[in-house]
Amino acid sequence: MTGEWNLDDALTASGSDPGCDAMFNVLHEYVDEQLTGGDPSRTHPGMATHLLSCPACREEYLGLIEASEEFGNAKPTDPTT
Amino acid sequence: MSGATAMDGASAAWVDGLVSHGDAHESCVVALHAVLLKVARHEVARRASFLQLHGPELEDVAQQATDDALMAIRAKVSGFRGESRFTTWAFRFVMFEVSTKMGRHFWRERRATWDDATWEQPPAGLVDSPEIHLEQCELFATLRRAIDNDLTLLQRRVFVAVALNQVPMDAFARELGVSRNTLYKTLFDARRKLRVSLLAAGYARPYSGSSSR
Repeated sequence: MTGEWNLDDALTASGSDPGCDAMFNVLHEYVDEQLTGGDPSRTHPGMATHLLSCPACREEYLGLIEASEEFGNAKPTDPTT
Repeated sequence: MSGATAMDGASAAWVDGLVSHGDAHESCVVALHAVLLKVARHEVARRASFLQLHGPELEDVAQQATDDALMAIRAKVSGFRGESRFTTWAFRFVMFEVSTKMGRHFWRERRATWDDATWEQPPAGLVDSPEIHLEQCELFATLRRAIDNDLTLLQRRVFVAVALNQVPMDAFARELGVSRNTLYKTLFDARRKLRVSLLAAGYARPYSGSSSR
């Protein structure tokens, strides 16, 4: 979001990019696959493309990775929740 | 609970609690709100420096995002099929709500309008780049002409705001009264047009670094 401006990034647009709504629909699967050692860029190549092109979805992806690592093991009966 | 058998134990417990009734439901909702609030606070802190938000404003965004995310989760939990951990599925709504709320705060801090007038200076990152040289200036001039001549008014506004001035997409989508997805499609079309224009002018990717002409 705050990185150095780059023309390549500014003009990234791939035909396989499914857009933000499609990204949101599978973001949780994408993140969990990554956190369990998989390679979601292979199973969801269009989504990987979108994350390179869309700063808003990329921020949510980065935030969800952190949040899932930090708080993802919470349980409804966990007294520390 | 249909579908819950495919879930891990913790995910099934969350779902069962949310679709149940009485005390079990209430305690589950309280627990979920507590963890969502932790996630929201963590996320607004992660993004705070960009928007220059502090103390009470950050907490306000976190609280609002938590409440709205919880509402969305309760409304949609019946559609959760265990494709991921429940927490990852649920935290996604917090991320979305934080983006939306922070987009709203963006305009509170910046009342400038992001229109053609902002297209008078190259992006700061380009100007500050140590490798700036004549070819890059020529490339930038070509890009500017393409933006002026080849894009629609809407495409130009979106590209200048989001791609050049790094206005958060949710903030600009709110300004235009459209969804993020709609804004992204406009940005996507603008990028493709500009790439075609640059290619016709003799520039091919990658545009950074040494000349590709």
